[in-house]
Amino acid sequence: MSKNRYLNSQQNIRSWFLTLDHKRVALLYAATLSIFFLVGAIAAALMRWQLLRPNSNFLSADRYNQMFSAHGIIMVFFFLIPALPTVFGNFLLPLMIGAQDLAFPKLNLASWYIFLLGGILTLSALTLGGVDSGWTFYTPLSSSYLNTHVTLAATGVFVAGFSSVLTGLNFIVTTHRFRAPGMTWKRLPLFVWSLYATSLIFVIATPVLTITLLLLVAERVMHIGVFDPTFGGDPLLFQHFFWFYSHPAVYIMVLPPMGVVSEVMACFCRRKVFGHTFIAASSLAIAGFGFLVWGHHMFVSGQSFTASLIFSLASYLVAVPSGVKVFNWVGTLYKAKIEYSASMIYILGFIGLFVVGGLTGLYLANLATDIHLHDTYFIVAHFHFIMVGGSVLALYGAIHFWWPKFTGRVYPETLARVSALTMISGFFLTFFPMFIMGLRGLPRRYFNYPEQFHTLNVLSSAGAGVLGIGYLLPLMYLLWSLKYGEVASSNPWNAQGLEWQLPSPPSQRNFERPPHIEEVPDHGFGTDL
Amino acid sequence: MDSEPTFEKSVAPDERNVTNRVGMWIFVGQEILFFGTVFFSLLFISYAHPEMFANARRLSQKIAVANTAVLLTSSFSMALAVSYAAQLKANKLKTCLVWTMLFGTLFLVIKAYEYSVDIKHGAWPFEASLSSGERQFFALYLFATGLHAIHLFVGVVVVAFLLFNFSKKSFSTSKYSLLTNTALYWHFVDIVWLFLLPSFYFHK
Amino acid sequence: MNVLDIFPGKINNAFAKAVAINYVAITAVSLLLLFIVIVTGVFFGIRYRSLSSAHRYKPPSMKVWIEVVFIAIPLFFGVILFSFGAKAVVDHGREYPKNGLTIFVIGKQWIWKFVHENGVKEAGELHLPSHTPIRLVMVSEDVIHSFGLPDFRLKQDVLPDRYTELWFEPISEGTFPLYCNQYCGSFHARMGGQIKITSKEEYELWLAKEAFRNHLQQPEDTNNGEKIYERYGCASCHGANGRGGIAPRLDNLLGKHVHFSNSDSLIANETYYRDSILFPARKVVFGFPDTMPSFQGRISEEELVALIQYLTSLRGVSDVQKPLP
Repeated sequence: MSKNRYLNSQQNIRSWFLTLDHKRVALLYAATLSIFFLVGAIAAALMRWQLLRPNSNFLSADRYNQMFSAHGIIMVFFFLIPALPTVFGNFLLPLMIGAQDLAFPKLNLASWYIFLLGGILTLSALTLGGVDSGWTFYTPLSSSYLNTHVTLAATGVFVAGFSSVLTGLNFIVTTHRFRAPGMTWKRLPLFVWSLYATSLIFVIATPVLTITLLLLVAERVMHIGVFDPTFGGDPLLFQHFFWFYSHPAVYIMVLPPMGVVSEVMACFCRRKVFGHTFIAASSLAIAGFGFLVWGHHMFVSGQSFTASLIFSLASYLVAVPSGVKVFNWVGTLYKAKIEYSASMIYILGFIGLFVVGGLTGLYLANLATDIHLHDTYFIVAHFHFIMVGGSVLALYGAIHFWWPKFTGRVYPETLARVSALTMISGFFLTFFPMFIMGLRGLPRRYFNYPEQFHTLNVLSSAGAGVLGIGYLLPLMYLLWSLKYGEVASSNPWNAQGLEWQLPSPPSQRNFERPPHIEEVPDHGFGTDL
Repeated sequence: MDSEPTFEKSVAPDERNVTNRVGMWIFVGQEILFFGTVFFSLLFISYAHPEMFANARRLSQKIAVANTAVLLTSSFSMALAVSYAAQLKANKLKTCLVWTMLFGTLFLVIKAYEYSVDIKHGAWPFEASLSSGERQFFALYLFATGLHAIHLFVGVVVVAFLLFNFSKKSFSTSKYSLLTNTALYWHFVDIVWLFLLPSFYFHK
Repeated sequence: MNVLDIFPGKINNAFAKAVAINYVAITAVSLLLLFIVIVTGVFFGIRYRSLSSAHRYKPPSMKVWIEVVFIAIPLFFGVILFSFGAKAVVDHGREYPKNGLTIFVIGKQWIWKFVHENGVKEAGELHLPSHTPIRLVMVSEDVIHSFGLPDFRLKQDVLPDRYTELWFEPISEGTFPLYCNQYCGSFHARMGGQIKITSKEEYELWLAKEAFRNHLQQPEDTNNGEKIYERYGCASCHGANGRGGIAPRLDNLLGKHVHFSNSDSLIANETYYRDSILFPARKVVFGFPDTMPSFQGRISEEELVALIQYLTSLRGVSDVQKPLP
């Protein structure tokens, strides 16, 4: 590797921890998030072990409650929400639009430190004795009834929220102000469009969550009486505030993966993505509509029936832009030249599982069936199909796709394909049985369960084992490739994005001269191959 | 932001100012949502518990009005500072910033004094003798005004930093956005107070 | 139970039937869309694999009419499925029984308590008659719980600050599981129970037996609604047996239109009784002064239930038989 690449241009500790290079900040995030992912996964593994038997006492009731709370809080706030924006967004956004860095590099580094601080606070809450509020922190349980470290954990999430806001702000300004000459909005890569939509949600939704958690902390400390009826508050107000953030947060988790799908498909289908404009617009539509559907988490909560009606209709409407995306991806396969590389398999896995996740959402947007399915394992299955089958699979797809660009190395392709298929099948086996458990009425967050759900739970736990292998395999061969992998060329996949015109890994300043963009890349198609 | 991550030729200092200003407006936008949620809670609670606001008479309207005047004066001198900066009058600019900082600090001092008066009058959420409705009002009051005071404190620190920065090196157009962004934040914090004032102090 | 038996039990009430129709509709739409996506995807995936020699001249990049179809398909099905669900719930609300059997449910960490119309209490297990419209009026003593009856496809959160309701008319007799669906702390998973549905006659027999047993064990029940009415001094203003005094009459109130001094009005239900006891200043009956003290924090949920049961049972005795003092 020549000496001017971002990875080796400077090699002291200071050059990493005080770096203003967006690519190094991305790697700082990657390292931090890996640790959180591991902690969250261990909590999940312990839960699946507990659920192998209906009356298991492997974990006590409280311990189990702490496990699902830790799993939820860490995976949502400290892994899925930041994962794609902070690692791939940070690394790729400037490269894709032809800039030398984000608009505010110092702010970007500060965001990481803020995130780290929030993470440490929450992790310390978990290690000091745990939190058992669930990731939803519903009041008055969390505000007045739990003696665990809810305050500390909520403060951690509160702090990390600022990191989200500042990252979103940075991305929006960068996209507006730092596009290279010729990079018009119409030519903007779809991943950048999805990051832009995500950033809007970051900036608009996150402040509501942070202040709500601050109010929750104040409620615990000085009985402020906003959420706890004993002090004159309203417990449903908390749910409204919480889901006003946390439903759009689902789109924070799924929009960037959708952007990844579009990029990877364009490359391995060897053609322009079908309906580029509509895919870009649907990202914005999802971000917009996403703010109008939070009440579908509250159909049985006691909210007014009129509200439920409106939220149900809006929830069906938010499915439209997602549907448009899926149809366009399928359309992209038409007259393509499909190469089934590892990242392409992950991405096709995303589409399949996302479709299942999306279609099961139709049962939950429906006023009648949701009453039956609410707070059962059906919900657990549904959102894991979106967040793991969707987001995590696309994340692994992104890791494989851009790994040569990040590291300058290529991983063993066959092994990668095998692990992709392992992950998809393990995932399916883990979560599909949960749909049936939910339909049969098993409520979520139960540390023991009736005998009749035994078989399904065993299947699910077995699947979790396979899924775990699917997570760990890439870790091994990717680390292996860092040292022994083949050295990557600047464009190993023959992809068309701006980032592939740079050497792998890119130099510290990215571009020496501003690139000039002429056309949306179309892989030189138009003649019969 | 000193290290401008861009192609020197394509983005001139003026352009950088625009970039910074866009960033600041987005930041203020999220602050509006941040405080907006508090005001929404207040509105919601006041609808469910109108009786709670009878406690407003136990807060000191006189101090609050005086404090409002102090804060508005600080905003005025901040606006003056921006206009001097546009005319590149460095000394007058610094004088104005000193006044801004002083009035901002004065507001915080008066606010601290007001809290001590509140404690004396039992208008304090940690008071044991309060009924739950009373406690709710004073806790909300403390939460909202405290949050505002923290924001103002940050503003004072930033203005102090600006003064230090401007006295070290001469004022130049590249620092103009630093000043206007601080001013934007300062005025925003001011406006929040103008909403807090009627919300807590003035009820029939 | 077979792994593939997807639904719990058979249909036990009208709402479950409506839910079943929705399941069929959504599943049909889902399978259709899934079929379209998977079949086209797999077909293209095989035909246009990189090694195939399929014809690839000028792949279209975008066609607006195709995009319009892409938007129209989910929009069309979405609106249809929405209206199916809305209709089921609207119908369920329209059939709301005016004269059903009213049973109070009190949730607390981690047990369900039930109070029958004659004051008989039970916990963890609820006896109900079949072929009778049943109204559950529910409240929580601490955190939010959720009363879930998978066999009846019904669920409703139980809140600490207000009554929520659930109604159904069971068809078949038997024992059905009851769950708490909203996470409520340590033993959330143990906050279950059973619904025992028997014939009307058996239910009434059981009710009478329980009442008799209670009477034998505790001949002088100090916690019935009438005693609570006396203990809290309600009679001093509302009169003995709620027949009025300086405060409004309380007999024959349930289901009546009440007008307030702020020109609001509503139809009196259990929630109105509860709110008037806890927050009397919010709704002052037209023509009366705002003098009633709040009983918030002074009266427990169980006492409230007993009191409201007593008040709603006051059918009013004609003034001829019992003249006003």
